[in-house]
Amino acid sequence: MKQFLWQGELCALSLWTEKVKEIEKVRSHLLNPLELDTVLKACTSLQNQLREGALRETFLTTLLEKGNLDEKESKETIEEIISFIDRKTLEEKIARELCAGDASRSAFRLERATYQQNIFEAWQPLGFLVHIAPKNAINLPFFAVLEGLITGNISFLKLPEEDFGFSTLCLHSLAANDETRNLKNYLYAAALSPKDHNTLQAILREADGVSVWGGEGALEAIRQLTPLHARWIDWGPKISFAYLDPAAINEKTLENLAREICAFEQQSCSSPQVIYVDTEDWDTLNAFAKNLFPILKKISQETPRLKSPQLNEQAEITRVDSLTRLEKTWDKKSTAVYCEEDFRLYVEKDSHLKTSPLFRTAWIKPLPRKNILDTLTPMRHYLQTAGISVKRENLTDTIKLLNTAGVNRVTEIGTMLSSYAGEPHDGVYALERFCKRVSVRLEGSETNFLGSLEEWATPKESLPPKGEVQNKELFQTQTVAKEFSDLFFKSGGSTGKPKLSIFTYADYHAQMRAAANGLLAAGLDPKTDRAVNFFAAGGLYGGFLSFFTILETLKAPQIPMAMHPDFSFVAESIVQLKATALLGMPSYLLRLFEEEKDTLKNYRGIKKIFYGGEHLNPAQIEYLKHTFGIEHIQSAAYGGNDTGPIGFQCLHSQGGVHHLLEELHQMEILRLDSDEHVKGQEEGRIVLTSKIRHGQNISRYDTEDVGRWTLDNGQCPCGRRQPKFELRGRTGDIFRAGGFFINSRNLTRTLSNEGYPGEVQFLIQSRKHVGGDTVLLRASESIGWDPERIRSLCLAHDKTLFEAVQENEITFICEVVPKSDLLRSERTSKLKLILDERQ
Amino acid sequence: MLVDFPKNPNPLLLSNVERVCLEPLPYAYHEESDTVFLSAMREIISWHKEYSPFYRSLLEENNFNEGSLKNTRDLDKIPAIPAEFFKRHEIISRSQKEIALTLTSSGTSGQKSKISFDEWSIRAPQSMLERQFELNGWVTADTKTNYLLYTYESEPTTSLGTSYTDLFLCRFAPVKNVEFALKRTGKGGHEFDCYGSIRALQEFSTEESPTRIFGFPSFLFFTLERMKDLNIKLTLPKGSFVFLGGGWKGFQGKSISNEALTALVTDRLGIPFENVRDGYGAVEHCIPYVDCPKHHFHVPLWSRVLIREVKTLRPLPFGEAGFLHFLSPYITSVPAHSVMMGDLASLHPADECGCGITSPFFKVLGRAGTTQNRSCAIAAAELLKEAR
Repeated sequence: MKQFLWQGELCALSLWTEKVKEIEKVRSHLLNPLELDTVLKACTSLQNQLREGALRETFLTTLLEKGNLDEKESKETIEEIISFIDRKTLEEKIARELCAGDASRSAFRLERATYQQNIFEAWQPLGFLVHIAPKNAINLPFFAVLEGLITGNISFLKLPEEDFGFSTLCLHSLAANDETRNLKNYLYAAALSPKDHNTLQAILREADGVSVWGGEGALEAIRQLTPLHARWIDWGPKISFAYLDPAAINEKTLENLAREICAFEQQSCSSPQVIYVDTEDWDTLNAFAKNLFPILKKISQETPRLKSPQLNEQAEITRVDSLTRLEKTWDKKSTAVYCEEDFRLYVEKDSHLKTSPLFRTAWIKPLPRKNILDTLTPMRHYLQTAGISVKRENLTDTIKLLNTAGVNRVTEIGTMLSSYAGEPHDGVYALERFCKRVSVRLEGSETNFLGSLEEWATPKESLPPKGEVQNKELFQTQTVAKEFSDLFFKSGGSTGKPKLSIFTYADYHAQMRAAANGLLAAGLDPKTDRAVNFFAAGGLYGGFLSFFTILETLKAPQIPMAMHPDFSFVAESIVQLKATALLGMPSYLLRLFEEEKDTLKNYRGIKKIFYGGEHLNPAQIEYLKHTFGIEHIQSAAYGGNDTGPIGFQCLHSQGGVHHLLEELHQMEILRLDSDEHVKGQEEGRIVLTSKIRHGQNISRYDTEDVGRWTLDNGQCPCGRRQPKFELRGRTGDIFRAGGFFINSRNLTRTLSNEGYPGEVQFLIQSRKHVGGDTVLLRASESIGWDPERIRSLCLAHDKTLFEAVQENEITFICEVVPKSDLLRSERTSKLKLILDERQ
Repeated sequence: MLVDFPKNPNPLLLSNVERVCLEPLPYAYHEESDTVFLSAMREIISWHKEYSPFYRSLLEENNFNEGSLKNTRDLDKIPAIPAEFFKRHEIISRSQKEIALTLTSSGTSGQKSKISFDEWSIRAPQSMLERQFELNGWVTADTKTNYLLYTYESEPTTSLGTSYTDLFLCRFAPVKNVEFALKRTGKGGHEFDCYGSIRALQEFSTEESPTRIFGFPSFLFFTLERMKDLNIKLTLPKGSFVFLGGGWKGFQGKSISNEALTALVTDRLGIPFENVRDGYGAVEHCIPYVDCPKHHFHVPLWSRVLIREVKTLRPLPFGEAGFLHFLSPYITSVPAHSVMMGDLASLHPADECGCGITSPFFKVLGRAGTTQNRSCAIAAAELLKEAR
């Protein structure tokens, strides 16, 4: 050991004695938890550096010069790292190992375990994890530590004394690629002599978990030094074998078997050491060996030697060979030998599982199916992989027998050595062993509408998003890789060809899970409510599907209607199925209540409405509550086609006020005329950066919505700590006149709140001679409102407009005109809200 | 002579065997040594060929005939049987009634080997050991002596080889006190008694009588370590010595070098370097090897040593590491006259030592093979065998 790694930094050996005294302080870094995203970002950054450049060269040189690998092996080693640290692979691994395969779950958040009871569960890192690395695998120590890091553990890697520094290099490079500078606090590594018990014991005393690779002796020695409070995570020696029915194999099977015997000189735990043949007959067994012999000879010649046996490994081969040949002399009916210089097959009449001296050596033994259990069970601690080839009618039964005997991995012969991402190792998921499952039960009613305990946690500081602000056009021109394209929704775009917003299933479900918690916060009670889903379905619309998933996530009873045109059928169904809550667009819901007024008035069973896509004004809300006995009307979600759900309302949020779905997005409010952050409660553009989205990138995406942070930010009476903001309209609703930003939506909202039911239009003209602008508000004559009333209401409710008029920057005029004089878009005949007539 | 003089099972057929085995001075090679040894080997090969069908077929398969043993260079042609093979099968060249003793090897790695001895095959090595002791001046019939034995306290009906040897070792100087470091638990097991050992050493150090310490190095090491921790330092009387053997008994992970152990003995017990000695022997090959004052195992007249290359089994020149192969005509009960040990060793010319003994010496380099020290799958092998 020339250097060691302490808090992510390479230190000279002379500092070791001093540093190791600080081992007691290492656990204190757990107070600043290591975020999964931090590790994944560092991995991606390291991955890019390993593809080409100076770091790749350093890695290659270290492997070539200090590790004695050849160029091909060195490159393969680096490729193995590149693929292991891939973000998607690691995310899939976490999903499989900690989320029961559900990639949308957040493994480490205190989330509801069920919506029927107030139970919350999460995976918690063990804390301080000591890894005792093996000698025989170059990348394994780094991968093991990485598994510790993605589960949030501080890791100390004990390397073998003769380590050449590659693992340390990997870890140091990973820490160097972390912008948060928190990862380094989680990284320690040193090569220690196995006899330096005192140091090891001092380190282990702090451990919450000890992950040990190695032989039985090494494991036992470490175990004795391990305190009770440290979880014992052992990866001890394992043996694998092939199991085959001579009637179910062909030449291809034998070739595959021969390849398994030659691959990696059998150095892997999953290499076959014994070939079990489903027979009791000595002649059948011998015949099998005779068939395999020439094929193994051919394959062995084709397979280059990975390495030659060391002195002791060769001694083992010779020792076993001499003994087996003597056994044959002792009894020719119980032992046979089929050997060439570079491979060996030994046939034995008994069924006992035993280790092979490796380097292309296998035992061939009989094992009738009926004896599998009795023969293998005593070895269950050592069993790993069985490569099998049996008749289909026996396949499942044989696998189950093998599993019962203790085999935890079964593959076809030919794939014994290859694994898939997230495959359990030795019968367990590694990540689970590095974590503990914590549970919280809070039966008090105040958590009834809380989806996750994280909502009450002190918010964590995150780095501000970087890069250019992204407009819709920029967003839509991204090309999305096929692997990230699972779900296609319409991304607005009312002109021409529909633009698409593309999601992965995992991202979609993560968003729906968050939105479900939002709907819960808004007051939908999955235990008592029965909800009708009225959002639009089909034709690339995401509304109905999203709320279907949301209600399913909540396990809330659901009546799927979509925007069904047969209102009487809809109303009958509501009554018949005793629906209590309606979810949909205001325009559709208002029409339904209008068309089926009598039925629904009589029913009075609808207690809640959750709306989305449009606004309901206070007058409409009042009407619905009063006429139909509805008690609770709230926004179902604030979201967009491109961004997915963004915010939700709690019971203390009304109108446009929402909490941010902070697990999904980072939100900025930028000034209307520049990319600066707004000050205080100033109105500005809502700009989002997704924390989870794959493929189609949401990075400082301008939603074209206008909003402001609200006063009770962080101090909402509901206890949630997610930021709170108020939607104030669309950026298209805002015009600049006389040097002031006027929000037309604020004025229309004022009028609507006062009971004005019609449309208005704004004309902006330059004032002649004096500078400044004239703002002309045109209202519909047919409503019969006095223009002066309109003007005074607007000035009373809009501070900015009032100020501008006071300072004589704006001349504000109201007039009423025939409805036909209000200008409309020729194509869609939608009203044009703002007409800018300035040159 | 303390050991009964062994009786040749067949003086007609085994006259040279007797001559080799009864050579009085272990290292006094003479002009006829090699010729007599070759004749003895021919005699013992014919003997086993006659009485062991297994051995007969082994020779046939190897196309070997004792007649082809013309000079010492031909010794490497004698088929060697791995010591481990005797753990698997009971191979006997004599009738059951001629068997005087069946010894079980204490088995470093969990297996017990059973080897049967007739009267001759026990007595010959025993008397060789006496001659080794004599050579070192350790046969002192008139000096009462204290013994600390790092070996298993005997059960009433023990058949473990090591205990047998260590009790046997007590007959070369009259016993004053005997202390066992590995005491009986009463349930068939044994337990290391560290404080009892220290107490015995403390008592022995106050006496005039010398102390002899025999047995496993591991437990002596644990005792000395504890003494060091407790700051106990003793000086054992003049004439005391340590004679170890039997390996580290499952404590390989904690083993230290012979040099370090010797230094520790000198430091804690005041026994000089040249009086801390080591023995090498095995149930499968009973010739007693005792290291010289410079701690080297020289080859006595009673046996020959070959080092064989681990792949081809060809004999290796001085200095190279390979399988340790012993040849000795001493045994009539079992065809164990050509045994390949489970250890790796190297052979060295006498002048590399310089102690005055003129025969070459061997160094044991550790277990051959990976069963003991492989980190992955292989290590499980021992347990697997136990489950047989």
